[in-house]
Amino acid sequence: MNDQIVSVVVGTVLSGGLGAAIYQIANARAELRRVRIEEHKAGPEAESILLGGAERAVASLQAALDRAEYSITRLEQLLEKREKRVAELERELDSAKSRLGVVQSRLADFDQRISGLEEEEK
Amino acid sequence: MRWLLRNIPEPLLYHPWEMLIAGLCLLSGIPLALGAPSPSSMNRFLSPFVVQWWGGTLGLGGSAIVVGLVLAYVRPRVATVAWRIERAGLALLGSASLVYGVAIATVAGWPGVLPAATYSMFAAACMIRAVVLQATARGIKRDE
Repeated sequence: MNDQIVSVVVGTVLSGGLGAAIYQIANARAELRRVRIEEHKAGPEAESILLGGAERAVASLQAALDRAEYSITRLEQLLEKREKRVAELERELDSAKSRLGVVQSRLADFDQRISGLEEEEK
Repeated sequence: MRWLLRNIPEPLLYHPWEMLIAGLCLLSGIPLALGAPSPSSMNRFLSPFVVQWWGGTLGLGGSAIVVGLVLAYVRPRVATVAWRIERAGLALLGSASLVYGVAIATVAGWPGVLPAATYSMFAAACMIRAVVLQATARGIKRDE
């Protein structure tokens, strides 16, 4: 008996939910009909076109921003590589300069020795 | 992170709770309606027919919520229709979860208070969401 009562109560609750759902679905159909009639009457509204356009514009802007961000990152990496290369070249130039200084001083020594030898020959 | 945000569909991104729980109810409700084994608390609480009915309510409610949420994003022009469908699903799911909460509380007694409260809260959440959707739709109609 108890089980029957419980089943009846539960059935009532579930029926309540089902009834509310059927009511909503029936209203949804009426709503859909109303929306379609309005769309048919008014044609495509400027607002929706504008909204659609704005949405597309925002989406393309987002894509462009993403592309720009990617390009910036790539350029930054490239710039970093270049900077490293420039620093390497500067270091090489410095060492070349110091080597050149050594060679110049040796050359000056040779010059002196040559002029000394020339004077001795005379 | 950005990749994830870009690739998650909008209904799931903005309504993760509703979508995932409704999806879960849909997946678990349909087999129950077709006669799959049901939770033991429900078997002890209700007759097999009512359990199947409950499973059907769960499945239908879940599917209606998913359809309503997705439709509102796919076709914003018919958002009010989509909200009606979602409210239908909320009514079904709310009643089904209330029944499950009461069943757990009745069968398990005190140890079942926590799960029973969880399902009752879920029913309350369904009701609140339905009321919010109704108010939103009314607000839009008033603005029109």
